[in-house]
Amino acid sequence: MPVNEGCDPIIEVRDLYINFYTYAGVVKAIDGVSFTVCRGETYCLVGETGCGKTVTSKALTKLIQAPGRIEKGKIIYYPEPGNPVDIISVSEDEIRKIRGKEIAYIFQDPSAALDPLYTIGHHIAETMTAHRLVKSMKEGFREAIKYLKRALMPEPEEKVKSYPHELSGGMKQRGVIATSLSTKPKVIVADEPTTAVDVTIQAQIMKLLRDLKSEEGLTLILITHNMGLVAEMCDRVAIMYAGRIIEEGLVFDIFKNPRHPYTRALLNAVINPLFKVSKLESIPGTVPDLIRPPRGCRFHPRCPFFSEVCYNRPPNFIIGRNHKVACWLYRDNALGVED
Amino acid sequence: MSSEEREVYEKKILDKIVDIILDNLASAIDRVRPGWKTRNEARIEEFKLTLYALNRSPPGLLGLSLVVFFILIALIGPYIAPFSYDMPLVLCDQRAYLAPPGSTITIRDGSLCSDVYGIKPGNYTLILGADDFGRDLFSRILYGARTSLVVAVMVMVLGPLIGITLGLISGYRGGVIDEVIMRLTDVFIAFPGLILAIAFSAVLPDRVSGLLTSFPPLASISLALFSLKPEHVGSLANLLSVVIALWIVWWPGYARVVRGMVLSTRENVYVEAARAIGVPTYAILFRHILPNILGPILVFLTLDFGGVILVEAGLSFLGLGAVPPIADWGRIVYDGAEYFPRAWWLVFFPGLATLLAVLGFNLIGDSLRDILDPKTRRKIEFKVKGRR
Amino acid sequence: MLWLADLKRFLFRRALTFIPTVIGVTFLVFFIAAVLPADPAKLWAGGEKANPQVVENIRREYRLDRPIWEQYLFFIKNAVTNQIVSPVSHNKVWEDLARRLPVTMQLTILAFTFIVFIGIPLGILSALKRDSIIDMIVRILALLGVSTPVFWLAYLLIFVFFTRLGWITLAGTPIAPYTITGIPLIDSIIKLDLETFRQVIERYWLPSLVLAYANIGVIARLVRNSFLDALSSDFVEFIDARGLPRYRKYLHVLKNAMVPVITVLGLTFGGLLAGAPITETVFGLPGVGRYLIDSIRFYDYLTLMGGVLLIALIYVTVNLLVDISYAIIDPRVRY
Repeated sequence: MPVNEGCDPIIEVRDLYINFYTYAGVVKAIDGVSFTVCRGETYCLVGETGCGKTVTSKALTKLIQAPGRIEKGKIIYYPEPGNPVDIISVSEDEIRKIRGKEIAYIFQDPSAALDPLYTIGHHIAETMTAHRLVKSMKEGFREAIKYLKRALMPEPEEKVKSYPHELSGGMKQRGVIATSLSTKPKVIVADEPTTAVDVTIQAQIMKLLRDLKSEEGLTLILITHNMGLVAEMCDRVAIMYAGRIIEEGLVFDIFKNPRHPYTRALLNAVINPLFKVSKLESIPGTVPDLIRPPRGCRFHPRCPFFSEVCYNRPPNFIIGRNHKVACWLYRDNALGVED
Repeated sequence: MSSEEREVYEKKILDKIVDIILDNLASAIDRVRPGWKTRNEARIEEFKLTLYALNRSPPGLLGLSLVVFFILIALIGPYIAPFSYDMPLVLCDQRAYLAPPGSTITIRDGSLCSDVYGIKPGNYTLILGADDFGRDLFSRILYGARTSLVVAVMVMVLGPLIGITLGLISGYRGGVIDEVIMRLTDVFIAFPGLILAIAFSAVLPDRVSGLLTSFPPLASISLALFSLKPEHVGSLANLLSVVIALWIVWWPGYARVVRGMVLSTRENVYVEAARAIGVPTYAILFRHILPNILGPILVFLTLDFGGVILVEAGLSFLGLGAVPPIADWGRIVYDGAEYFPRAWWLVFFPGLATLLAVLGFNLIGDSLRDILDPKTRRKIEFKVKGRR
Repeated sequence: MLWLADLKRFLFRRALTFIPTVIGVTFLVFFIAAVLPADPAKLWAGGEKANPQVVENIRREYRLDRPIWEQYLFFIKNAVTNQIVSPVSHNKVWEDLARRLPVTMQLTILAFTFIVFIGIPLGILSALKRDSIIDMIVRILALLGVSTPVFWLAYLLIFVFFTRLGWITLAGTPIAPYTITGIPLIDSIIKLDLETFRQVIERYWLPSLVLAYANIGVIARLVRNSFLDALSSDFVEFIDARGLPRYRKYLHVLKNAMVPVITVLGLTFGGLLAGAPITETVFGLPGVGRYLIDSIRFYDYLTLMGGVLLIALIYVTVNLLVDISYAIIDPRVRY
């Protein structure tokens, strides 16, 4: 797998397939996704709603539940370099030690993440106690105040005893961040962390994540559909469409030189902070039905450059350092093909 | 996203019957109010879907059969019963006294029963036995179905109506009216249901008697409804007292529930939009809010129908309500209890009849609840449409 | 703890609604009396052949010749000072009722215990083993429970356990040789008096079971659905993501699931009180419920009203306790 030299892989995903067995049929939600996240970077998964980015992120700690099932593939986690942990085949007890402690999550809606019957301090203390980081809940509460402070929660000594319904959206999100931080994880997966909060809070939260990342040396996996956020925060980005990664590369490359027709259309549909765009355009058509997905390239029904060859699934063509794209348009100019 | 084409799915016989009935009904309404059918096409389709789903649920169908059977017996029972509900056969054949199920009695030519009561002479089998007056239990159970049904219908027509109306007003208006109505329901709900019903059933008969004598038409209608002989008009008061008592006990529940539902529906934007356009209050209530809460209310109504039958049986078992010789399932048990367990059939069969009738309504209500619950609805929808 | 202050505020506001409700309850009970037969005095004096002088005396004694509001005040004053005397039994109504209250309380408390300790575990089991045989059985049980007439089931079981097996009695009720709360069931537990306790259970287990039967299934279904709802709540995902052990997850889910159940348990108690008259009648228990029915037969309307009032007050108090428990568990309610 050609990755940038100097990339110390912390999470490797290879040929991941995830299906959802619903009453309507089998949804082929994740269809052969492969990527590598390097230690210390901010890696972004981008795409429209329903493209599979959240499912992929949950798969990283085997959080997929019925009716979903990981069909095949490999997810490898390296707590230290050269120490691979096979996420999919590891036992329940083992994965629970990784969840929260090594790889922590920040979910989209903080109101949904917190149990309304317990205080925010309880959440933090509970997490720390479960991972044996403190000896008692009492100690956990004391530590909780520290982490709330780090998450820039105003009046942490008071707030630690507050219930979720007494906190604003921004405070709840800080609480969730504090909970995730309390275990000193190596990786934080943030799924649309700013969608549910005010715009003003958004900026604060993102700055907080950036600062924490540099202070703690975290690896951040960011899931979003907000291209502006991508431009600001990410080192590398993978564009997902209908359960597949269709383009991946350094943020600057993607924004400057979007290759895949979908990526181009996506960037044309939003205000591009790096380059001036004269007119915003929408992408014709709708997201495909994943129970009966299109043959071959899943974007071909909406693609202005469609041709016969698109009925076959395109491989990942390498078109630059760290830039790959899954589109037949680049068959001839590719530097190589990923296996 | 699902495709735009119309799903054509396999329809069963009952589905087709439902289609015929509803389509004809819709056309009829359309003739009175032109354009109604096209405006409500989607709603009619949804309603049909609900009935199809009911058709595919075995418990629902069982419940439906029980209920249909019950209603049928209640309607034609008085006409097909071998004997009248108050016929003391013990006068004709002493063997009728506490006769066990399957006993035979003989009516002799020229006896009291054949001459005065007009029963054809011959041998008769008392299928379910008889009580201490020799009254045929089978016939009395048939008549009892009528009693239960009429009481249930009377209660369910007015009780929930009052409750729903007050709930709508209370929920939509808010303010002082809301507070007053809610305090009122608080007071009523402070009493365990049956207790209040007992109290009112006990004290009302006198007044109701007076009412019946002042309004003879009321008495005649009631006699006809319950299929009673005119000489038993005195026993009507107790029966009607139970109906009134149950009206009093039943309305607060609906008021509370409907108010809650109105409160949540009221917040919806389309209500605000309607108000902004200037749609009058009653129109908002009936055209926007009510249709949306109809589903759960329907479930309650169905379940409550069974509930009323159960409570009515309980009240008459305690001696309130129907007085002999009126045939009432609970009352038969009350009268027969002193001969238990010797004449076990006097307790067993009326109780069983009550159980089956109530079970029918509960089965339908349960199935309806699953169908209308958004969480379980998808699964059922796909069962109906047969997509895989 | 911080929440005590919240709770006190909540209690205060709750008490504010409690009092008007109680007053309203007395109004309603009195309203029942107002609907009474036109001339109760004659009935009490002995019916048609009553001595007119006696009838007149009764009428004056019970203020039946006074305007309605005066009658109400008379009723309330006497109720509060335990001065109501039944014209039929010539006893003080409260005392008569108080003597029978322990029986009803034992019946309902034992029935409630059955519901909680059979219904809730069954519900959790159904939830954990969703769509299995157990789930189906619980569903059927709930359905049958709400469809079966209590008196029918009672007689059926009496036939089995009394007529055929002779395991139970249908007369009398055990009393304890001492009094702490006046309720032998509780007193015997406090004093660790196994013999009295055994007697009480022997007499009450079947009636309580019959009374509880309808509700066990309902509570089990409710707990099942509530548990499954809580299990699919969003915060459970976060619990998984944090890597908490399984028992901790179920603790969270259970606590959330109990919230709607507690309210229903309060209503259930009301249902138990409502079912008491029938159960006591069939099983020959001399409780308040049966006394209510008996008093109707003798036109003893004052006892009827007293009994109804008493039961309502008990129910209102139980609901208050339920609301308090609710507020203890769910912090969102405390405003």
